[in-house]
Amino acid sequence: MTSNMNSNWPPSYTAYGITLSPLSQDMIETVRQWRNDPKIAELMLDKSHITAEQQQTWFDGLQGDTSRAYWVAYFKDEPIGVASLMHICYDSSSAEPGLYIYPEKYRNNIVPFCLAFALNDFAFQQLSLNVLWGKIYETNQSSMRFHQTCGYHQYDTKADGLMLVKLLKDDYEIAKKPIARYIRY
Amino acid sequence: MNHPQLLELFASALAIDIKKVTPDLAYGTIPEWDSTAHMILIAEIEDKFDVMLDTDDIIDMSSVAKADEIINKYLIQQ
Repeated sequence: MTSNMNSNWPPSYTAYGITLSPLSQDMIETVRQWRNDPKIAELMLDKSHITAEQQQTWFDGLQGDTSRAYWVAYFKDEPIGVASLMHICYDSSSAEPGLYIYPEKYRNNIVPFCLAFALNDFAFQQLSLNVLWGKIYETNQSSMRFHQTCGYHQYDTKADGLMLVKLLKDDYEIAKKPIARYIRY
Repeated sequence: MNHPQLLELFASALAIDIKKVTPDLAYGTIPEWDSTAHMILIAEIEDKFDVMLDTDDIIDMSSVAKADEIINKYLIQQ
């Protein structure tokens, strides 16, 4: 990453009707409230309650850190969730994506795919990464189905019930087509 | 229900017993209706009714009754 990119990191990105807008100071309390809601927290690897002070410290640490990227996702100008890339490694061309959608009305239809595709396209096309890594609780069948539909493959299972999955760029492009054809914005 | 064949489509796409499919069935009420099942459902609806749904209608299709209403709108327009 160049110093110029550091000052403009992460960039905004729009695709599939979703705009990924860099997490800003004025949105961190909204994001904290989403994250602490049990319906979101129960899906997280770290389910602990986040205080306002912890949130601010975490946000301050993000600044200038090009190994991590956090965005607020907007759909029709409404903030609907959070997308992230963690452990971005340019040497191995890899990262760990994460996303969640807060409003119930957008969770069980095509919007999660719109958000995932925007995030994946940013990773594969804008950052030129080749592989994305993920961890899914084996009890979360919905998440596993979603990841498989996006082209992820399971490569291991940890003793604590976490399934380790990976998405290769080529597998993603193949998997994306059948769903993306319904995104008609 | 204007299109009772929708009941079978829902049962197939969500992989649930057709006895569970009522007009009131809505997403968020059963775990089987997740985002992946929703897209399977949309594919089957477009194929069965020979329509091309707007993305906003795909998002709005949040219950069996709503799906029936949306499909009716498309078929009337044809």
